[in-house]
Amino acid sequence: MALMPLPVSAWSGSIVAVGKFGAWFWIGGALLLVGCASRSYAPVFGPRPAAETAQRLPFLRDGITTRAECAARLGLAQAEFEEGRIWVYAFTATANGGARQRGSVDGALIGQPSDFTDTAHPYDLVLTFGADGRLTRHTLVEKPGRDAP
Amino acid sequence: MTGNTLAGRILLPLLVLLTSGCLIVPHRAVRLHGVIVPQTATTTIQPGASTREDVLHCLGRPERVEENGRYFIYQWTMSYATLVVAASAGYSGSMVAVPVSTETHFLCLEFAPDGRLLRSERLHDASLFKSLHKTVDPWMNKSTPHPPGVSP
Repeated sequence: MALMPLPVSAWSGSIVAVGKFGAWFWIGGALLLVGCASRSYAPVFGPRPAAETAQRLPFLRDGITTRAECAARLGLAQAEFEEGRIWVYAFTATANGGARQRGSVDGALIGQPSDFTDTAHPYDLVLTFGADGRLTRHTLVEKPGRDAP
Repeated sequence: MTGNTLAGRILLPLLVLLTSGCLIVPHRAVRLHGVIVPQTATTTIQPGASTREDVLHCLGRPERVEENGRYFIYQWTMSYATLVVAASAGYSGSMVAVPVSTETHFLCLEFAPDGRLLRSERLHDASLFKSLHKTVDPWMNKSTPHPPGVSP
């Protein structure tokens, strides 16, 4: 099937004659835009893969990160369980693959550099600490539909 | 009675009544409040084996915590129909849509003092006047046999 050439194409506010190269213009443009494909995914309730958690909150490392370091970076936890052994924070995804803390009682510290908030992906960050005060387990639990900040 | 009074007191309300109406539109289940906890999210949670820590790492923070962490309650509300009320008078009109036929769902979990999960159950309340305590309190007060190896 022959591709129909377009007579003209608008580009940067000026009219450029495309002529018989119109079809190739559009094919080339489509190929260039392939790199701009969205990486977004449909929100699903439950824990996110460890790789994604590591990308969004890279400073969290089991066996290394201490309770004091978490408190310094994230502020007070929004909920504590089992006499402070388990901390929970509320986060929301950001457009560049980071995470933004929500509703912190001490001024909404941000876990990642400032970025556009992706309200479609709210999370709970759950941290468990051992007796030595070091992180033993951490999970980013996606909670689709939780109210936006 | 003057013409203005007649129009204002009788004809206008009559016109509004005649041109107003309501309609109940059923639709697929739509979340109104809370975070839906799907069945698939709780397949790994097993009474007697899972702990409070496991539940938190799987489901996140519950909407309600009762008796110092003994009970976790995850709660969400769905709507299955919308009531549309429309009224018009002359060239103006208004329309209001209100969710009706709502149902509140609860995922209730009870933990033993050692942190292990004793029991879990899904409850729902479709009554007109919904109450957490009306639905959940009887479940909390209900004693159930404990799984092997779990002390109450």
